[in-house]
Amino acid sequence: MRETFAREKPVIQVKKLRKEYIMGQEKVVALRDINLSVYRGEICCIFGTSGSGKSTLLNQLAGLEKPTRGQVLIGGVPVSLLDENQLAAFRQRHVGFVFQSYNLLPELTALENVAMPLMFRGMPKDIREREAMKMLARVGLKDRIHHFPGQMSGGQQQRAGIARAFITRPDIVFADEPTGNLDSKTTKEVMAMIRKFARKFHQTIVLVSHDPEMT
Amino acid sequence: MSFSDILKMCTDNLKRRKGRTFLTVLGVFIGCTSIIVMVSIGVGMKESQDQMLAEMGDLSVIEVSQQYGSDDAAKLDDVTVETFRNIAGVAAVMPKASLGDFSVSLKAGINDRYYCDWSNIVGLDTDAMEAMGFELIDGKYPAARPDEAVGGQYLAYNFYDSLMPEGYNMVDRWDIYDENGNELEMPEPFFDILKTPVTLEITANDGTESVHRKTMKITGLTKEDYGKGWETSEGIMMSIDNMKALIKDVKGEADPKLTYSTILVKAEDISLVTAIEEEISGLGFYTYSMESMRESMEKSARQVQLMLGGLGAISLFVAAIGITNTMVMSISERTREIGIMKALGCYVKDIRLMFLMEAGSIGLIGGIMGIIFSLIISVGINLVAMGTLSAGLTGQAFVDALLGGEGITRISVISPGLILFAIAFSIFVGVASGYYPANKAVKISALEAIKRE
Repeated sequence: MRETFAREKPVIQVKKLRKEYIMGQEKVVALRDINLSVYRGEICCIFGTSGSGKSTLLNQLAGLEKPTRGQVLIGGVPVSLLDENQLAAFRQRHVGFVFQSYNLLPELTALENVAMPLMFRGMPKDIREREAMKMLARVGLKDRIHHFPGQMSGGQQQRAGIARAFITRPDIVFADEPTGNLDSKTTKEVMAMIRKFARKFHQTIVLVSHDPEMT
Repeated sequence: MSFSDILKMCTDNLKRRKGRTFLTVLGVFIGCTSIIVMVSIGVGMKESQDQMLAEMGDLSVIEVSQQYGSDDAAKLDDVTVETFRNIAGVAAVMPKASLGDFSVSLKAGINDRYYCDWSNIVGLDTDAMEAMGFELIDGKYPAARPDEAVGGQYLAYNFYDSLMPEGYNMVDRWDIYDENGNELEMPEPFFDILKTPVTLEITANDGTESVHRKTMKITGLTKEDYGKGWETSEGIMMSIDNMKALIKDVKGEADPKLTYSTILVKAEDISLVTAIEEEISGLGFYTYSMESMRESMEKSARQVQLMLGGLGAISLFVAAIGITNTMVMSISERTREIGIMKALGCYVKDIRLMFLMEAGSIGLIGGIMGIIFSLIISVGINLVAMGTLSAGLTGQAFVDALLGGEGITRISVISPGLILFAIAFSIFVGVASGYYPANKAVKISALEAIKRE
């Protein structure tokens, strides 16, 4: 799969994507024939007011939902056609997530949370925790590694979330309103951090936000 | 995910809700204990039955008697004896005649000091006794003389002493416990029956009231064996010739055609008993054997075991529902977490395994606790039944209560097999109750991670 991620080809290619929901008796068209290409190293921001379908698009791009029609190709792989197992393997290798509400598991320490994607791959504990330690140091949480999410501030949690998203060196990181719950100062820090990682590892970022200020 | 990671996740989750986990485990614990204790009581019943039967006698002997109620039923005579001898698998046949038409009382000692009002006198082939498996505990088999016979093991205890007052005039061979319940040696009878000639006082039941006396010497005592007839315990056995002579003396004329009261048939092996018994009853005789009794006892013991086990199973079933309930609750609480794990690339099979292991460990923990507690209960019951609580607890008593042994009657028997079964079964119950919740967890979508409250 790796070799298909050539620089000249788009990392994400969306062809005639359509998504409809059935709400009671009505049919709601959330996405109407979207065509889109995102290249490696790009930071792609999806803006829109709430209800404009930006989250739906993100779900489609990340393969969290099946489209009604059309195709999403990531590195040439049609994600909508993958089964549960293939999707899990695909996410382990190619995709990272940053969530609005951080979504750290409350019973795990920062270290365990960041190391979690590597655990799903079956990586031994000592190796993955060394890796997680490095990531946490990069996001400035070196002295917080054994804290639980509840013991950290929102900004700190989100930085741990970013460390978790980037630990697998994914090709694409999807960020769904990553700063939605943060104040403006922390927002700047977090966005700078995402940009820094993306540049450093030459990764593609797909970011959803309702706030055009983000750019 | 590696196995150790899954194990850690699952123990973390169990620890997270300690109270709930404890209550669910408690349910399994109670269910498991009740099954083990119930089954162990069933097994204990069977064990004491087997011990009792082994003490009672030879399992390879079939007692054949005439069908009741009809005069033209097949007769037990010398022809029948020959027929039985020719059945495949028969090792020996011994006809027995009884003095059924007469009432017999026994006298012994100087001036008939000792007396016994009633005794079972049988005539049998004394030369074949050894081949039939009769055992002598004392003395020897009688010679072919008209005044020799053998007695049952406890024959002497049936005699009263006419010189002693009421209440002291007989030796109670069952009176072998002292006031503390300890077992003592069986008391000696009033006289040594092997050294004292016994007089048979025979009264014909024909209204003439003529009494005939015959003095015989008891040369040996047979070991009690109900498979061969209870005269081996308390009766007198003489040769058939002696019996014919006795009848002739009493009646004044010889009985031309003596029919036997019973015929004993010994099989070559216990496994052949059922087949031989069926063949004989097919000929129109009534049969009785310890083996057929053992079979029916075993059958009823099995039924009791099933019933007891079923009672225990109900509580384990309730516990299983408890596990399912706990797991369903825990999964609905963790919906978002499961979504996050999926979004971050956790395999579906790992999620399933995680929840099955969680449910399985609840079963396992409850099972192990149940086994430990059952062993305590079992030893406790046995200690009480063995009477060791009053006699003082020793280490040996605990070992006996747990493992049993020669001559130890346990009410509750827990074998290693039962323990292994209980562990396997409790894990199985846990995993099976976790199956539905685990599938529910697997179906949770990764979208749950994105959803906003």
